[in-house]
Amino acid sequence: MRVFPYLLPSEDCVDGQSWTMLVESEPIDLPTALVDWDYHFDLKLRRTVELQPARIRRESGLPADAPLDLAVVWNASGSNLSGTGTRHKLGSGESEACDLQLELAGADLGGVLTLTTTIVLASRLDDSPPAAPRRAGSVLWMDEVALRLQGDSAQFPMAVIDFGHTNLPPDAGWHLQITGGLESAAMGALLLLINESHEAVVGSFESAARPKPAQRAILSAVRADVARTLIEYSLECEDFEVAADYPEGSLGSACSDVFEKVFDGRSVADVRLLREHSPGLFSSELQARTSLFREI
Amino acid sequence: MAHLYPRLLNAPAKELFAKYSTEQPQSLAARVTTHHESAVYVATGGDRVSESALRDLRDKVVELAESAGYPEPPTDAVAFDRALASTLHAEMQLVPAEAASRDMWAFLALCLLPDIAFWRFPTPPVDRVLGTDLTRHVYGRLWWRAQLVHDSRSAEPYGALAILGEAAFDQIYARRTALGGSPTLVRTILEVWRQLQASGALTGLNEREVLRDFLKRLLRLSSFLSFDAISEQALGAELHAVAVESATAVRSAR
Repeated sequence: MRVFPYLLPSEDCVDGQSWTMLVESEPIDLPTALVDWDYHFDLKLRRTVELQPARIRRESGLPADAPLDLAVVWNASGSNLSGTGTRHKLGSGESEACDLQLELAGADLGGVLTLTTTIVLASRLDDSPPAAPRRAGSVLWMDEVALRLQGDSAQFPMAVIDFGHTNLPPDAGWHLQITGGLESAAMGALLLLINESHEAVVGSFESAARPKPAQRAILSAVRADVARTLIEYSLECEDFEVAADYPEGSLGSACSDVFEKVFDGRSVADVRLLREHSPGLFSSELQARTSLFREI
Repeated sequence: MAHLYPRLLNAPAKELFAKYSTEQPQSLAARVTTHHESAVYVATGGDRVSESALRDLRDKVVELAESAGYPEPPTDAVAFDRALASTLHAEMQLVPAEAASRDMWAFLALCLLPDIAFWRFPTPPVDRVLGTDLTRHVYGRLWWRAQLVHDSRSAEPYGALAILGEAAFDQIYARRTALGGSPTLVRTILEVWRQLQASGALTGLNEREVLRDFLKRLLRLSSFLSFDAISEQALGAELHAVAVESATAVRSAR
């Protein structure tokens, strides 16, 4: 337990409501984790704090006009950075409600984001009474919430680029690029390219945390296509085997996982024959087993 | 747009380090590559840095090194480091969470710029190259130093790099986590230090000793002060008062 070398106000001087997060302008309760988060994902957060400024000053032994700030300080374990989210000067009334709003740039974040809401002495008071805080920044009250950004598991490598500047079809929505052999690291071998000039596809990925029905359909199509591309790549590799001992995290291991999920128990040779002799049925089986549009 | 850089995994990085440690920096120029088969990218949603961007970065760093005397030993290593810090920070388009990756810095030191790394630190200890300690890495420490002092509102965004030498800055950097990793706090510490030097308050004192005492006091205070919660003006005034306390304490202990 932290020991403070000055008087503190009672806990009931402050009533902080829960945090909410804005997703496409709509507030949702702040989750404990955002698995779809990436550096492009800025966070818009809100919270209301009701407090009793006059009583806080009295109980801290501070003069009635002592400057107090209500602030939100953020700290991200992934970037090891911290900063001020927002700051609000407290008045001198008996009660006050503060709407705290902050926007954090995704580029500064990562790992576990901690939001500390705190009431502090806003500037140094050299003549403050004994037992009262005097240093600027002295914490009088605080609470914390934590939000995990990124899942613990690795995410799929992705990049948004303008296909018009590449040799890819300029009107395609996405493209799964596979480079390297089955033994190479999957995270270095796979890259899902999203065409930034394709608004519907880009919008679906931007709203992946809370997609609309049409966006859910697009994401489902992308997932199914990624699985199909990996299966087709596997079938093209003459030495591909589901049972092979590919290194963990390798492209071979990723292909093997997808193959097993899609064609559970069937041999690679059998699926190759199916693709060669009944491409229509092969395609429909893939569609069925990748759950295309099932979650809409 | 943030760039994702290739990360050289630990095992191949160690192998390359052992191999390159026996070679001359100039011969390492022939080992330069923008691609390594064991390099991986994390899927955090940034764009992978292009090969041409890697080559551009290399060209800029080599140009700086040549201005500093490469392949002869650096004429002024401090000035080279300062110029390299701002170049890496301004050019790499790296987000802090990516810059915290040790493997990424290993790729830079062993694949993209091995000749310059081994020229700057001949027969380097492992942490200068592999990134086992980012406060010591030939490139990583400079990017982070620039990140923590960078002030986009200033006419000289990297001007604060000139305030402290490497050893003194490392004292702050090493306490970065405990002090909350706040660029505003680091910049304010540097600004307060500059004011103290300019006012003559440090005259006749061992500056490193005063800085050490100042940082220790800040660490103690951080258990009940929130440096990020107050305005920069209030922070500057509070830190100045603490620094004066340190100078007074060191002076009276003499």
